[in-house]
Amino acid sequence: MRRPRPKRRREPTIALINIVFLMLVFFLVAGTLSRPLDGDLDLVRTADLEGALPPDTLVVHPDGRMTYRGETIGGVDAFLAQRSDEERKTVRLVPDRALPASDLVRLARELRGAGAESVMVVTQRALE
Amino acid sequence: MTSLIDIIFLLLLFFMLSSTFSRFAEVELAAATGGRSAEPSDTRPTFLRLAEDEVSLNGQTYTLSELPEAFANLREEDDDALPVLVSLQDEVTSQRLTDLLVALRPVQGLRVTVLGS
Repeated sequence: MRRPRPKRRREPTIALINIVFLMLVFFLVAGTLSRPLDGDLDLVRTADLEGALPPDTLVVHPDGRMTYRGETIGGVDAFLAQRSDEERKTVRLVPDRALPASDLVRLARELRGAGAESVMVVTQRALE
Repeated sequence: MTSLIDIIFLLLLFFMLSSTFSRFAEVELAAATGGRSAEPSDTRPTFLRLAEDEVSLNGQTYTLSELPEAFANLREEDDDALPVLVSLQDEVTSQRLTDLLVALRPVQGLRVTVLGS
């Protein structure tokens, strides 16, 4: 006498694909692809400002160390030398929120002196 | 069928790991440039001293949210831009300075200059 074989249930592949597809669409729509900033950086928080593109520019750490794409930059001139004319007009800075403001102002002054027309401070928008 | 879900799973992983949800914003920082004299102006500049826990405008202490009102009282005529000189105390952080710049942004007709140390 043959024992009835245990019923094999098919894997619900279609349902699985549906869920994964939904998650994929969510991340495609809601997320922004960007170059990661330095990991230990804690950006300035602001509200009531219009949004801006994710920054790909000079990062200033709390101790005044400057990096660009993870590499240490010696000075403002070295950074500006790599930029195109368009990028040199408006220079964006990403300071850590704990950076002394006098250092930030000194950097902005150096950038203006080196030819930048306006200096923007990039901040992180607080969640509303 | 398996290959399809494999591909979609890979795509999902890629977008999950590489996308960021933080939103960025920017505000202009107008620092004083040395060596160039400002254009002559009849308007008397106002002095704003920023400390970590208080703001004083021409010697009077305000909070950040009271500043727009204080400037509205200060300006009688609307034709000239009012120069504002911001001096920083030693312990002020970038966060504090940016808070001030954001608070001053909605006020019309100000020319904010941050003085370096």
